[in-house]
Amino acid sequence: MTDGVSAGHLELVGLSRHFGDTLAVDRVSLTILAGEFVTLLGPSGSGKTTTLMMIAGFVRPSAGEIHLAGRPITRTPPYRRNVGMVFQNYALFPHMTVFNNVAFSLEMRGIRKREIAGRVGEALDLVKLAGYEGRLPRQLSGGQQQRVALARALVFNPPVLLMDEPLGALDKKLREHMQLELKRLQAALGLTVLYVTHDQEEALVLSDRIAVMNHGRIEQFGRPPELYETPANDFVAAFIGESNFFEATLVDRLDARWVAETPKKLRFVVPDRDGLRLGQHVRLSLRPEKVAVEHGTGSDYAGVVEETIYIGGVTKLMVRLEDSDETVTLVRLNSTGLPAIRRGDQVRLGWDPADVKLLASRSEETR
Amino acid sequence: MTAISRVAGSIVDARPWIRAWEAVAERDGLRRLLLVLPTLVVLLVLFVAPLTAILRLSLLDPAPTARHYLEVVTNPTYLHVLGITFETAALVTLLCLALGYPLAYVMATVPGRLAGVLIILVIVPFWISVLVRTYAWMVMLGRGGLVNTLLLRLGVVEEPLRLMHNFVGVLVGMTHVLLPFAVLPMYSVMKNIDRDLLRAAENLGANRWQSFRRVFFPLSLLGVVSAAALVFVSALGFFITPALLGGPRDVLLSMLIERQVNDLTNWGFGSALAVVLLGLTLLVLIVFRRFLGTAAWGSVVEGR
Repeated sequence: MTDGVSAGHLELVGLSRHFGDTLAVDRVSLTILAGEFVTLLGPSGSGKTTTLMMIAGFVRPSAGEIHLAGRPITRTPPYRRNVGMVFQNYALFPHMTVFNNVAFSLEMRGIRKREIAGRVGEALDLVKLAGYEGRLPRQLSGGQQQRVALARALVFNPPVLLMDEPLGALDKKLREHMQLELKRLQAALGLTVLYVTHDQEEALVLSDRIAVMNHGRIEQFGRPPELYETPANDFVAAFIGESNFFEATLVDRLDARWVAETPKKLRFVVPDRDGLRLGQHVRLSLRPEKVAVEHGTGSDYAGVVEETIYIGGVTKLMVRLEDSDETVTLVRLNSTGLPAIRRGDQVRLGWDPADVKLLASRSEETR
Repeated sequence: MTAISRVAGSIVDARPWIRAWEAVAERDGLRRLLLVLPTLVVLLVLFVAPLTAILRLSLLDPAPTARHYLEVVTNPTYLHVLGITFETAALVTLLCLALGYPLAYVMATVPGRLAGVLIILVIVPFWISVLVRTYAWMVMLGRGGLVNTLLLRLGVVEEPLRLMHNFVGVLVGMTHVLLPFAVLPMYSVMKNIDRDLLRAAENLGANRWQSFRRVFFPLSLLGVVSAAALVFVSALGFFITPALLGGPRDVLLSMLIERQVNDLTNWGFGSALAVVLLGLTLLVLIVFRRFLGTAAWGSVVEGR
């Protein structure tokens, strides 16, 4: 466990778990490199927590293997796995002081009292809670409890740190603050982290790579920009950020491009890709911030602003196109100097054809 | 209300009056008082009044005197009975905790449906009269009872054991009757212990036994103390079971009181004994209460 580079290498191979007839986790394979921050992102019931519980050893996999630092741990009892974990509601021992909470893992490992005191002190320094040793968990704020949980999970230098929605109980401001702090700690200590959340923004802020989960399966695993810019399917496109989705048919081919048309006759130009053929049914995604807008008429993409939603830095506009009757959602920076656009205004929209993404039309079809 | 409003209505409109009354009721919590009023009346008539009568009897029978109380605290016989009563209650409490803790633990940790069955098994005896249960034990423990017959047949003993009409009988009977009082509070506290705490302990390197000893057991102590208080206090005033299963030497305070009142019609002394029993019971409760209050984990568990 002293080899810091490979120690955190975590590999899941075809991991599955049934609960009765339901398949909670379906053949999940994932390689997490040492020092990497990976997030399992998905809606509730997508199997992300069950996956985490299998790695921690609390849920026995129905099939598949788990390797940590090249060693199989699939059948190792939880107390011998040496995996750090921060629980959703922290799971601090309510009858123990902060010191005893953090010292617990070291005591279980038979480490001498004097060394324990030193290491607990270091761990509490790390999370900026020095001086709170004698407090009981209930005497701490939510944010402080969160830090104790982190110190307790880190104090025994586990090769991998598992975190199950650890910031879910905190208010937004504190959550954002803790995200940055977590990121700083992870970078400074070179921690390997497997993080679980349903909050896509949190996943984007924290992660080196994100595995988007749905119905027990990994829909896509990649770096945040990959997921956002080139989602594998409509589930990923919808779950990470917002998007305009259009069902369309390929009606024409121009050089290396296709023309796709929605049933309401809205036309898009989309880049060519292997396996596309004339008349094929496709699903398109266009991110709202990729859509440019200005006052005016007389374009293919002219329409009327139906709704404006002010969200501080940006305004979200919903525009109904005149020719096709399709609605396009877009966001516009509220920069000074730009003319205000109001509900009922006549506007023209435009976008780069490269920003119109072709999706597999059903996530199931990607299998 | 309607009668009042009708009378009032003949003079002025009653509605402002009703509204004013409601405002007062709201403000002073009078409504809530109305809800507890029936119970309060019942308790006053059936509990406080007789209690006051006993207190008066112990001090005023036949004339104002402290003689009954002096008798209780100076006569070695009565002090001895007091000692036996406490000893019995303490032993029964220990037995109930020792038998009840593992049972409560199993109930709190097995999967749902089995837990339900176990709870019913624990509660069913509650619905059966203490008298019936005590007689059942007499059938079991008598010279020709089930236990002795079995032991004789198996050749474990050569002649029947004395299992009844002695201290053993008292302990067996009282422990059985009071066991649910021990199991249920312990079960309810154990059930509420967050399973993630045990997982956390295991994740941090504690094996099953260590996570029990360091996390589950300390957190279950609140239930243990409640169970102990309930069983001990109930055992202090127990009458039917010790009277039927005990021997001539197993005289508890409650039996002494009964003898004074029913056999000797010595109401004054009997009342004094009753007041002493009540006082000691309250004292025990206060001690337990303090124990609960000062223990740091008490309020933690309550706050969860």
